[in-house]
Amino acid sequence: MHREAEYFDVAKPDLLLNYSPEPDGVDTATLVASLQRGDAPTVEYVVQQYAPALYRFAYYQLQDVMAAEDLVAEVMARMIGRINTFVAEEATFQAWLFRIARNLIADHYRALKRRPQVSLEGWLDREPGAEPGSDDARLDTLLTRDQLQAGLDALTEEQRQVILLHVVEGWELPQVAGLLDRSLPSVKSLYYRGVSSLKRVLLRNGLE
Amino acid sequence: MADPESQVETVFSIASQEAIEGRSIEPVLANYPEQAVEVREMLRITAAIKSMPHPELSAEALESISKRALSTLHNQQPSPIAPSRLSNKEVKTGRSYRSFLARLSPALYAAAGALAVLLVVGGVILWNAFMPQGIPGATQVSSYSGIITSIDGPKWMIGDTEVFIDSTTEIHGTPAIGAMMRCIGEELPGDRMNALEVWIEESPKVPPTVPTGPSGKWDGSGILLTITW
Repeated sequence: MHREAEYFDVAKPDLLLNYSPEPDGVDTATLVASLQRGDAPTVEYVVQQYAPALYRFAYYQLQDVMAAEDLVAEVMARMIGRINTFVAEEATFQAWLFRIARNLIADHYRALKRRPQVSLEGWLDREPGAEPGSDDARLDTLLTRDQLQAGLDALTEEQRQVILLHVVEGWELPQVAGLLDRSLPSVKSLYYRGVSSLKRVLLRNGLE
Repeated sequence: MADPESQVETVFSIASQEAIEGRSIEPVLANYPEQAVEVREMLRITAAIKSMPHPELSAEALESISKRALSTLHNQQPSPIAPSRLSNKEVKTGRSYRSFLARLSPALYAAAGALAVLLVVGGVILWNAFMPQGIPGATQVSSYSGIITSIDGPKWMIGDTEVFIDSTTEIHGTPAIGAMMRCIGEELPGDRMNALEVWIEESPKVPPTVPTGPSGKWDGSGILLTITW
């Protein structure tokens, strides 16, 4: 408990505010003001700066190159169309873009009438894993992208997004909590359970 | 005291953050030896995910996305030709509706200005038309009708009213004593009128000439008339 308090309240108190600078430290107010003026170079900058991460985020969930590219393009189009609705006090610009992406991904699944992902936690929980540490050697031999993709598919949407944003994109967990509209303890739990499930799925699927 | 599950979640998140930021996780794990083995194993997963090559957006795709974004930006910005925007469905949105009104406002102001000018000019024309300067004391324009009983140069008698005719008076028809006339003109004090426009509506009513002579049968030009008194 002491360690947790130190981590969140003393060592990095700003984490609780759910804010951090944009990726390259650009001033959000200036960026948004330029976009609201319809400044073309700023739009190009935003595409160059944020499209790659949005693409990774989309690709791992849609599993289709064209669909992911289209989604990123649509995020940018909506960003331009709705820039006047952006409120800096509510989220970073980056989080705002990813929120648009999340909504579009949810729309995509709804359009496909795809069944919601079912967590394998229940199934995994019925099959007790090996003793902690016994898989160390096998874990050192992973991981291909296909294996990761298969493992991510077995997670819930939120677990998957926590892992993608925190591990792949390097977001801090309070930022992720802000995007998902979750409390920080809830996101920590999602993260832990997501990685735990992923480990067990990977070990079963890829390392047997 | 936190429950074991919550504690391991916290330890894992702290250690994971340290690892992601490139710092050693051992100081963290040293404080939680009972969770260290499990957390270390899970951190191998996150480390593997972090270090593996991830899908990258191709340069062509990035350029395409950029072009599409700029196209969206271009389509959204107000066109310099305002009328072409009137048919754009975006005027249905609140923002575009305000933009539409903003573009329309100059036209509205211009129309209102033109209308004001027309009203002023029309008023001046009417004022000049109905407020002539020729006869002092002229106060009101009205119409009048009756039978012409005398014509004395510019002064006509219509019943008891003197109607004055001048070079500006428009006369329709041939005036004659006994003819029915209608006119519009300026009322003057004392049953007088300064005529602006006159219409002669009927031919003069000539009193019949009563023949004189004995009653009986008259034969003229092959027509036989029987006169009785």
